[in-house]
Amino acid sequence: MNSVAPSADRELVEAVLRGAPGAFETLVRAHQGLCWHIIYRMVRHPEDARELCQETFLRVHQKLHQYRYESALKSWIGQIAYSIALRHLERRKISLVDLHPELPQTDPLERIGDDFDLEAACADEQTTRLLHQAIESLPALPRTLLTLYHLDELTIPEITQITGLPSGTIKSHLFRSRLKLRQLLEPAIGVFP
Amino acid sequence: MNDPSQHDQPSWVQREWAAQERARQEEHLALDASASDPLVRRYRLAAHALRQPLPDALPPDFATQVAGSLLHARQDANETRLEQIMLIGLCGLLGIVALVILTSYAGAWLPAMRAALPAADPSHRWLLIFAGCAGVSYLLGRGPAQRLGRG
Repeated sequence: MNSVAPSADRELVEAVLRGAPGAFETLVRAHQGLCWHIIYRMVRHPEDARELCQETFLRVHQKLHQYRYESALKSWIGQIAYSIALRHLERRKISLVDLHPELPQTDPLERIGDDFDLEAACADEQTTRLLHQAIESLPALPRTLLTLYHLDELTIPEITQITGLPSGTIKSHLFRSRLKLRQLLEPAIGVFP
Repeated sequence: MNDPSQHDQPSWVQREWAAQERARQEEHLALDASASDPLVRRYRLAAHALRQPLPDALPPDFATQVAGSLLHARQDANETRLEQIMLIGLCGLLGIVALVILTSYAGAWLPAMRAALPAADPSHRWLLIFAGCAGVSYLLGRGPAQRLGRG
């Protein structure tokens, strides 16, 4: 058996399995952030997300004896969180992706002005609000992938382990959604034809 | 579209992908944006927004709550198991008592029961057995709530 999990993961898992006081609480605390990011981005509703996070960790506890250290513990837990969120969306017949993705087939051919002030744009409330609205309006899957990649700073292979999606598909979603966000901002920050 | 990072992709796709990745890296390292090209700077705006904390969060005592609910679930499961063991024990005891009573007093009851039955006609006896089996099948087919008149 190939073990790629860090030794800290192994120690924590063994402590939980032998019932060490506080071990499970430590495990939850260490991974609740990732779990929340995955589930909240997938389902969007905070109350549902909290319940699903609780369900995730109860499932983690139930299945922990099956964890074989073949991936990092966070990836294993992330996988459970993702599948629980996925099932939640499937029950509500909510689509994961944009069924009619719009992607330019040719170069957008914009002449990007050189005077774009990033610092000013980050500080501009309207631009920030527009951007966050745009992120929220993305379909569940690309929204979640963007969060895992940018906020949680997971690698593409780690995201593959969590979602089961091929790396090419993940990159495709990241590419399309980031391009869409950039193009959405152009009217606000100015582009010169 | 498949993998945008592949070299067989159109040049504009490769350019945009490279700018997106560079923006992500620069934002991660908090580099000064003034040296970057304009396209990278635009993607840094999106990368910056994507790195902001999510609007909602789990309660601060979430981990304690989850661990606590697990403890309660375990206690409930233990209590249910105890109840089941006691129920099985009680049914077993009742069964033994019934058997003892039956064997002790069967000699007195059986002749009186035979006399009370409609006739010694064999067809009536089979009819009674059939009715008994049908009744048991019917009761087993209903859920507990229905048997108690709640269904």
